[in-house]
Amino acid sequence: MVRLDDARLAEVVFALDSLELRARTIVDGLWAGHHQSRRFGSSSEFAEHKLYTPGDDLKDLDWRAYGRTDRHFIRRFVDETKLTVTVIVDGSTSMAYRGGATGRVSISKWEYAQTLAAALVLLCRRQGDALGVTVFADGKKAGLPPKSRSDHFDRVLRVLDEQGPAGTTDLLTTLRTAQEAIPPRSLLVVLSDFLDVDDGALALLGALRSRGVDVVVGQVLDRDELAFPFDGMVRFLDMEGDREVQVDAPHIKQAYLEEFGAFLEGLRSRARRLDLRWHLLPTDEGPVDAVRQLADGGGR
Amino acid sequence: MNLLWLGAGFAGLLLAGVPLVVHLISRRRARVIEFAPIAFVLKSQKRTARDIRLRQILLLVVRTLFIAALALAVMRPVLRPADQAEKTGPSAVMYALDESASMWTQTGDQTVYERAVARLQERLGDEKDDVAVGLVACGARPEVLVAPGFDRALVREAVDGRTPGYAPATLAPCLSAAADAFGPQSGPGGKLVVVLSDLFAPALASTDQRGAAPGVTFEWVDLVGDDAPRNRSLSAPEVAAARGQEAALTFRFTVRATGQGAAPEDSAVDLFYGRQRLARTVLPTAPGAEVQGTFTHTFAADDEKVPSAALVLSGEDALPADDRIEIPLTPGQRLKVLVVDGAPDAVPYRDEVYYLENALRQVRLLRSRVSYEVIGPEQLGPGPLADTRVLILANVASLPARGAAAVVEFVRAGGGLLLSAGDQLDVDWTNANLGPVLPGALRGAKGQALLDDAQVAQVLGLHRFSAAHPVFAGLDATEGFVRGLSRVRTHTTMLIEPSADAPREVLVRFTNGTPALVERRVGDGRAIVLLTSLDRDWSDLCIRPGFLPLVQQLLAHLAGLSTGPVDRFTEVGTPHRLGVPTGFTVLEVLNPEGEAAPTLAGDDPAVQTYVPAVPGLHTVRGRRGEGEPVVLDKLRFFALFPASESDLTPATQDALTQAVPSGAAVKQSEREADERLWPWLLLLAGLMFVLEALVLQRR
Repeated sequence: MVRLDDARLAEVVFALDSLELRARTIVDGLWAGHHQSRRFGSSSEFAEHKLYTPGDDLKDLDWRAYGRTDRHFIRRFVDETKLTVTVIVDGSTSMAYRGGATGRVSISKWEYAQTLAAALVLLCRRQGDALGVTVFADGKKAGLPPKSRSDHFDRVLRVLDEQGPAGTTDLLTTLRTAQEAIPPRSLLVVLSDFLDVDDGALALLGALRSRGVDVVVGQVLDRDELAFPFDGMVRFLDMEGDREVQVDAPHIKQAYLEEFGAFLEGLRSRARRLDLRWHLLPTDEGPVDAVRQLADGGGR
Repeated sequence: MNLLWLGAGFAGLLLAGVPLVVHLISRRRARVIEFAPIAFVLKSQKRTARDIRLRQILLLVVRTLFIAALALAVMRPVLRPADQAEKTGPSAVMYALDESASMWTQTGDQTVYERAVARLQERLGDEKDDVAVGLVACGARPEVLVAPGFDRALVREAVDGRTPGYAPATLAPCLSAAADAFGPQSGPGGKLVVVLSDLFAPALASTDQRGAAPGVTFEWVDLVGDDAPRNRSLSAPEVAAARGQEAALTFRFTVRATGQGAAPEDSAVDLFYGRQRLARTVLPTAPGAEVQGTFTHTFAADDEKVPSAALVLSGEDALPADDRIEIPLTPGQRLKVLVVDGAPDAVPYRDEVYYLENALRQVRLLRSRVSYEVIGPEQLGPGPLADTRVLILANVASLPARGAAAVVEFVRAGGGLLLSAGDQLDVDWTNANLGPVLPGALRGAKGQALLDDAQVAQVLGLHRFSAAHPVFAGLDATEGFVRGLSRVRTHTTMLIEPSADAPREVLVRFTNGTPALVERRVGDGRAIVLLTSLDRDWSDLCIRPGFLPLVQQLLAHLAGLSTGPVDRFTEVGTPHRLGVPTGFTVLEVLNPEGEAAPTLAGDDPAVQTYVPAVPGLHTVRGRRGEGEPVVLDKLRFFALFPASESDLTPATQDALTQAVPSGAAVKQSEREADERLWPWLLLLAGLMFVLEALVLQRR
């Protein structure tokens, strides 16, 4: 099998019209690299010992260890049950931005997030995990609860495929609605640009995390938003409001980079404090790596 | 300041508005982009708004200043400080108005003189009422037109309609005259002489008549500025018969370039005859250098109108008056030669005039058609002489009585007589009848071979030529040698009585010292005696190569068609000598504008003088006796534009200082006092250019 590097693979992936094909190409690429997800391993193999603390399930007590050391240890396993994965994708208008300031061919943030979500769907189907999806804007646009039936995954893909960027970002309302359906020890993946996300939404993600939900945040941004490569006089229009401003772009570039850098750093440090896994996902970077980051355990 | 520069400057100032327009247009031409993180753009814009606005204003100012500084520099402005003398103000002002020929110089659409008058009117209007004003014109001679007084109208009337002269003028005596015109009058502010002049170097070259004027201040008003106008002039014309081309004239002239236009250029000079251009030559001219040119042209022989050729410098320059020289030419005429054959022979080559006739057939005289007729002595009378210009008596024994009288009258009336000797000549009859017009009494023939003295019993040659005489001047003669005549061998000569007081001139002698060719002027005519034969009986002169040129020169001289240098030119302001033809009285000279002026009589009644005041072709009118006034074509002359006035080189500051009378103060000239702003403006433009680059770089 011919292996493509991630950049070439990205060109191939985003040249495909079918969302499912895109996702499959990514998942094949992921598999071809033999990077098996720890989180998505199917066995209940031993992982580590921990000292017993009141409240631990006594069935996990390692009596043999007690016999040898005269101390109570609890046996911990990598996984024991099917994983429940909830993917929340930002479907607001701001996700429609597809850059192009430097003339490069680019895809929109929505297409990127949509593709990553679809890849996760295929991964879950391949591993038999349950998966639910929510596309949000102005509260909630569409969604399906987590299930592991094979036809469910097809419906999830269809939901992702049918949605497009519209409306304003409202992650807080979406999370409030969805939090009851998110079981403990499940995985929550949030894909958004987080440009209009308020502190309440982050706090709610932190609360989910404290309930044992593994929260993975993928901040999808265009390279233009990161590097501000505009030249000359530019009139910027707000994508989700009626704000507009005309500036001599090169003159404000430095200030913008400082402001935006501070914003990203603020988000990252907040996420770190809330024990969220945070990944910056520029749309011009390879989708396989992006899926790998979301699926792996790093990011904190 | 040149109007062209002024126009360019104003156009440049309009361009200074371009940055503003560009700025406004660029505000409208912004790209529109929908951008999600607009909040950060807004924050950044707020942070940098003040900087950006300042930067934009700075760029606008820098660019506008850059263009405006360039535009102003093109106009070459100067800063004129308020003068201390102007603050106190003089009590009397004399305006010295330069009226030299160079004031005709064209600058823009005005002459310098017109500028001077305009400046004078302007200053008159600005003078306070308690300041006395006067006017002195600085022409060939200083002329106080208005003594210092308080009536401005007198000064205005005095300059109204005046024009500069054409004579060269020096300012030094005029400045002294202006200072003297103040008289004892004085006031608290002192006396000021304002000199309105082109300040070209020639007018300030001489300080000979510089006087003293303590207590008087002089102010130079520069009407031209630093850039001397470009001028080329024609000067030093000469006209002479072309050597070796009997019917052609050679015109020599000089072209000189002065003033600006530092790059050498080609100047075309045309030779015109009437309206017809005969030839053109192109000469390389460079500022300050002179170059000479020459035309040689053969004119038609039968053109009897009164002609003049013209040298014309083509192209435009600041002083058109010195670009044309007209050359008066002698009108064409018919020249009839009457030959009286005293020894005819049936055998042609033995005929007395056989060789002479051959020569006459070949003669080509300048602007003249030569015809001749051979008659016998008995045919000569007043009738055949009526339209004859030159009579040749070749070995004529005698003439009828009426013929002899007619010959004498013919010569006295201006005719030319050539008498040659021979074996037929009756000495006694000739002396008796033609003596009044001959240069001396003939003594008889002397054959060298008959002498006993062996030393002189040789054939005689010719020597001691009168090289300066018109007959030989055209033959490239020296005293001892004339090409084609030095080897003439003569064995028999006619002797002529020696005379110390006889009005005659020996043109050449035989080698034994006796005269060979003798001339006498009688009235308007001339008589020349050749003291040997025109055929081969006594001499081999007629078969020598120099015979034809000699006959040609003799005919030209006897007919009054001298081809030697003619006094055709004189400079304006310089006395021109007019040689009065015998029997004539010069009445007046008509200048090119048709104005008549009398001539001045000098000590010599045959010479009168006239001082031309304007350049151009002048004609002279006179009358013979009590007859009707006629134009004397031969006396026409061309008055040249003064060569010194063609030099438009600006005077140095030293020359300005030295021209004012001693003891006088010099108010700093405007040219010197003016602080030149344009170099600073150029520097400012350069700085703005660099500053703009720095502002653009700082993003």
